[in-house]
Amino acid sequence: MPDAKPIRAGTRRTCGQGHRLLEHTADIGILAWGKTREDVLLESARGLCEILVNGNSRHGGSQRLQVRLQYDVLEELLVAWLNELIYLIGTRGFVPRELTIEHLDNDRLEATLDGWNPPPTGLKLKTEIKAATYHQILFHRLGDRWLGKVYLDL
Amino acid sequence: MTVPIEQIDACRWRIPRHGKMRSEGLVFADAKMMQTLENDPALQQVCNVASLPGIIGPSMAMPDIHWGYGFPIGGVAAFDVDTGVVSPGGVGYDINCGVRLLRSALQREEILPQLSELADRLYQSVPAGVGSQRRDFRLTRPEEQRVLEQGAGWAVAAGFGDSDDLAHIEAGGALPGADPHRVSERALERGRAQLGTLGSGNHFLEIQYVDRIFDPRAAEQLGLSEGQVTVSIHTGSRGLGYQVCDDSLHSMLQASRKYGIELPDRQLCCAPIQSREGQDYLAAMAAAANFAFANRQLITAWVRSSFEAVLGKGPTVLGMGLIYDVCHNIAKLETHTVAGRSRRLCVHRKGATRAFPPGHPETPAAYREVGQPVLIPGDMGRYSFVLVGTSGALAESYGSTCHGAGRLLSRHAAKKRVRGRNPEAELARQGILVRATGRATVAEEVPEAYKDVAEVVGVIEQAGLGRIVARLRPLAVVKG
Repeated sequence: MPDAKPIRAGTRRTCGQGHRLLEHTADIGILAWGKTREDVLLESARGLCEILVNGNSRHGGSQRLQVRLQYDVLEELLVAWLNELIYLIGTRGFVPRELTIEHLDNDRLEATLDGWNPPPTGLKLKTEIKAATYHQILFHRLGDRWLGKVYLDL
Repeated sequence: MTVPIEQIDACRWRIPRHGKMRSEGLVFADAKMMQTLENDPALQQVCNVASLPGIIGPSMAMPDIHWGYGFPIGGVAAFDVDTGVVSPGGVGYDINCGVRLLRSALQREEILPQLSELADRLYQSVPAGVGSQRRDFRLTRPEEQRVLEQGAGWAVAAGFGDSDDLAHIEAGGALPGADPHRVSERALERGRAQLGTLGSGNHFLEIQYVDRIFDPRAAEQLGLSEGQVTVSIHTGSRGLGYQVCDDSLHSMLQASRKYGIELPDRQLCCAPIQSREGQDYLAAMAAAANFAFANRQLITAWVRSSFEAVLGKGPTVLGMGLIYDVCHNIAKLETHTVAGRSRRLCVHRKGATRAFPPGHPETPAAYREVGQPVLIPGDMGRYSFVLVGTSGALAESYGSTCHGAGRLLSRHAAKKRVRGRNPEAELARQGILVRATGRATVAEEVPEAYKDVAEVVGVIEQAGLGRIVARLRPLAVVKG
């Protein structure tokens, strides 16, 4: 089985979607973009994993999780989504490998997360993130793209 | 957006009311600090806080001000308990992040031969680093609830420290009104394995020595003398506090919409203090604060036992008494005199420390003549300071002062600055040992990433918000 890496990125610009990390005095932010809202959620997650997890994989236990989130305001969904991932990674020991947004409408998100638990040797948590914050949160359409911005409290 | 600023004097700057501000802003800083803030969002954050309902007096910022979430770091604001709001963004995710300082009967020269062993032992005894957990110490659910209710008192009753410690902790080591039932299952889960751990980032455990005494009378009252070994502990409520804050923000966003509160920044979401949402937050925040008090109490016990084991001396000989323990991320219900009238206020201190003066009923009896101790950590290469509170602070800033050095460089910029260097080796050449889990954390926390805390406390003393008692220099630092 070939080595697989945790979902990560660097600055991705593939098929009109991507993300980059933003500087902040004490912490860090993620700017994500794509053609759809789902792209923004996935790119934000990729940025999160880039901050959280280091290393290459060996063999580890695999796990599939379902995430269901309800929301009132789209920006608040972005925070809730990343905080759910922060909880699963930081507390439950789950490292995502592949994320699929199954359903997204005006008040509900359903996603499938495939990953490792426990994580393989060589994959380590490198940063403690307290939470994704609502500070200057953005998640909206700009022209023909969707854009998301979120700051993380380290 | 440029924030209008008017200089009042050498260490005070006014932000006049404008836009939706309900009061003015007041920044304690010198001219050099204000220059570095020119393009910093922190000043806009001072304005944003001033727009919240029920604010009494100015929205303030201490000289360690920098960009935060909602409130600026170094932000202080008070709200009328009947007409004002409480905001989790005015406390932060790390509820009751704070500092405690232990004295000792040891002199620097006595421990130098065993400093490396002491540092190793502390590093083994107190888990630090990303996701740090204890394997030897796990709370049951009923015990965790008692921790949330009793704070440091729970730890003392469980054999970690003695009752004299409690008299030297802000709020006696437990905030009243804590309700564990206001804390979510997820928060309890995140906290359960983390009690007794340091965490990561800017948290630390540091062996120090008293390098200089500035106020001999106050130093004597605090039990500090030149050359004496001290230990500082900087940590907070760990994952439990972070989750309480996140849960509360979700609730407060809905509450802000419900009560028609306009928010300049969603992170400033809030609710009337007297509302169900406001009361629920205060009860959950108090519970998380008590978790942090218990955390620092447990770590204190392991620090003491580490010194005993390595130096082969008993507790009486070591004399590792607690000088004080302060919060620097908290909201507290306090009575203050405003325009000659006594008022009950909810004082938010976000990266700011309480600094009550001599004679204040909440200043511990042992220090009633000199004032409440204020512990201001610097970076790991230079120094930290011990101050005492003043009547000036009580009169002007609701008895509040700074909390630390404040960051100058982002984490990314700090790592870039030290590329190709070995910060731990550089510190070792200065005689400072570092024990750290994450090399990246050490790079992010290098001394040049921070303001010079001497400049910060210099402004504090000039403004009358604290009086410097002693300077401490690091000998060994444990970081996550």
